[in-house]
Amino acid sequence: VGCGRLLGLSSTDILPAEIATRVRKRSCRQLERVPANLQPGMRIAPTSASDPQSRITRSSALFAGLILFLLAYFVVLGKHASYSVSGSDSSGYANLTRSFFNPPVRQVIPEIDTFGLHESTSWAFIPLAYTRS
Amino acid sequence: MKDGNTTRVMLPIYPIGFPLHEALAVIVAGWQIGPFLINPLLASLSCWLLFRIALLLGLSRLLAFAAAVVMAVNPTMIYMAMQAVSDVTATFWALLLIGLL
Repeated sequence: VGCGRLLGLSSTDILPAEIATRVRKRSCRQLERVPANLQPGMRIAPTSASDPQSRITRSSALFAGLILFLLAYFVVLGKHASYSVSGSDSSGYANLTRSFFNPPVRQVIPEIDTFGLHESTSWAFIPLAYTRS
Repeated sequence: MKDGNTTRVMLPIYPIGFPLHEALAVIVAGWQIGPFLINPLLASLSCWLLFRIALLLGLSRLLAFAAAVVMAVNPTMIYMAMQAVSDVTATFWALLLIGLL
């Protein structure tokens, strides 16, 4: 005997097919949880996950767990982060950031004048993440 | 490089997006720690955004939670989140854009 018949009506008559399938499956699950020795006057304790209060509690616990996990994640990453810059990427970004506070962004290569070199050698004094203008 | 004067000048070749984040962090927290806390913060927020996007896509809360955890423990994510580079920041803004679509 199908669960739809146990419900006393055909859910597909009044609901879209997808929703009707969900209702049917949920009804089947609920029926499976009914004890076989259930007598008139007996009550079933709402302890299953299908109980709305239980679902809300579990959902809140999941949200709280995720927030706690992400806070811990931030603390661990912050504790073990690299508090220095190196290579081309992080030093290039840091140099550009420093240029915002100490303009201009477009900078003269000082070594050319300091050592009296020809401008064609300027490439040797350009740091990573910079290029000749 | 058309004339002699221009070769005496250098320009940064990196985009300014991440340096703007760093500048904001410097204003808030100073040079010592500010720029280095951007990526840990945005990595955490990216995981939260992924959780929200997974819910928007119809996943259950448990699967969305699992997606966020998988992203958080991804070795590449952890590695990039500990460096002052733009990858995690780009991930954060991409996820935010997807979430707002």
